[in-house]
Amino acid sequence: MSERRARPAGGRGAGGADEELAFAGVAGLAGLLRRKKVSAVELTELFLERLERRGPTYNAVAAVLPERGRREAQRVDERRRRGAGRGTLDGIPYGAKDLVAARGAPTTWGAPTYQDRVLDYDAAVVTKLQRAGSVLAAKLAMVELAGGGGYRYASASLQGPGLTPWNTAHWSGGSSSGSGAAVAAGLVPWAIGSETSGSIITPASFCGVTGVRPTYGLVSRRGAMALAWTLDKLGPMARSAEDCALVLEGMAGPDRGDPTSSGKQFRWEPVRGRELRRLKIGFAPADIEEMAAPAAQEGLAAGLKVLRAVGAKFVERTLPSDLPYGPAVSTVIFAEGSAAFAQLIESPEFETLVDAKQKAGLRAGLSVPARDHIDAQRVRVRIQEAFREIFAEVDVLVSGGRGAAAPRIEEPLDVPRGPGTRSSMDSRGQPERPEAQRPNNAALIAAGNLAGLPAVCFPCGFTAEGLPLSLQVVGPPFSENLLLSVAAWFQAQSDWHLRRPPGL
Amino acid sequence: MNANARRRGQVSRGPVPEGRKRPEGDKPLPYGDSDQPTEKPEPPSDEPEAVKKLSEENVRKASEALRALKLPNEAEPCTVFKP
Repeated sequence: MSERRARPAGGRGAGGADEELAFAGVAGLAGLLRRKKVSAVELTELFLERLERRGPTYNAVAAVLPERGRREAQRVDERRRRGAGRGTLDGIPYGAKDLVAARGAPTTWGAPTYQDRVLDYDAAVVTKLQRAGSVLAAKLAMVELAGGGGYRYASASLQGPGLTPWNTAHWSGGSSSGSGAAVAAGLVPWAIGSETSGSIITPASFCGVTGVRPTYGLVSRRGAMALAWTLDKLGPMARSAEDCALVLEGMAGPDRGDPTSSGKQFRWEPVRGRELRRLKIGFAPADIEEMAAPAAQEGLAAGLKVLRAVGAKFVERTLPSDLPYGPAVSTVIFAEGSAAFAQLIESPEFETLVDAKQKAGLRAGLSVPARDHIDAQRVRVRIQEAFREIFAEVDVLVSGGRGAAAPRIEEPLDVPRGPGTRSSMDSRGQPERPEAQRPNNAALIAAGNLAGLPAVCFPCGFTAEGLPLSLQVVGPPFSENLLLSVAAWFQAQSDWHLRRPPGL
Repeated sequence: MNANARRRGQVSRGPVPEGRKRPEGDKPLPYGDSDQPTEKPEPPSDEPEAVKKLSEENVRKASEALRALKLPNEAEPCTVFKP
């Protein structure tokens, strides 16, 4: 094997020019590369060193890829010297969640079963990014098999529990655990995450970074692990909405090799000023006042207050309360996930999975009746209709990214921690407190994923303990430009997204 | 937190004195609320049988919730998903 797996390494103090570069973000680094203040090789060396040295602190890295990274970076520098630069991402390193195939690199899917597997092909998104000049520097840790069986503990990963750089006693979220932590700690400027139901939103929220769940079909999934074919999406996680937008330009696009590809491109054309003031933004006061955890309410309310200053019209608008969002998303993931992993489930290697509940869930999923899976798909049609009605009245919906900050790593994730139900880390982003008193959008993650809708999650404050909180905006299919514009406007008024975890 | 719920009398204002019945609707808050007495739930069992049973129950509950909709037999979009 030519690439190195993550290993513990010694520490080095915070501060200095390297530290500034590590947190400069995609747009900032692109500017430095353009002005020849730094080379792709220098950037790659910087991030490889940080991945090696700090990755183990957060259990964030599945494998560092020094050979591939250096090779790609050298090519970029040679090409740029010839005056053949390729745009914003050219020469900027990144990390990919370890369910994305990369030739010659370990691809473990976060599961002990696959710890020695090396694939000989690149996922479509990796090829696309390579053409744009991006430098793949690492595979990033994840919850085993993206948590398809419904895991109980943060430790459900070959790489150990993902730790948020804001407080390593707390979880970095799942299942894109390493992608969130690595971006937050400046181990990479941006990362690929994936979401089936909550796996980008949750780590973005717990790690204080910005994450995009693109519309289903906008980014090719060819070469990425399938958990639920009708739900899986790949998306960017970065330090700002603008960075995510620049990266999404490089990730999105048609792919004939992915039958679910929408055939659409994404171009970052920010909506500004007057147009933003004309927006109608739907929200539910109960999301924060009733559904969020007590420790999160103040921070989420403060974030919403900043967003209100955009001058848009805020109106109360909620999802219909009579649709079974949680059961529908669970049924789809159980049925499709268990089918996707059927051969593994029926093999002796299945026992090597870390989390007992994950194993039991995947086994149980083999028994989902066809009738239930079909009914869940029919429910999705009704959810899409409900969203169409909502988006006929409002342009976007806003809610808390998660209703609480990151739980401690030893907490069982399937036990409600308090009134903020989304706080209890149901790994599918579904509410666990259906008895809420007022209409709310607590099921927004499950509903948005079932309908294939895009979302942007961005930091909006901290708890008294110093753990990040976030808002999410959700819009109609292919409204990424608008959602990212709202987040970018918010980030122009605030500095939460610029803050760094302790010691970094 | 939960001033609205408290106004509606749906959260506990403290321990119920011995010999008195807790009023209807005056349920204790789940574990985790910082300003009220709490009743910490039993941690979930990690016994393989208990975990297996729970997972099967989750599948069954989801099934029941879907079936409770009693979706009618009518023309509707096919089940191939498109956003």
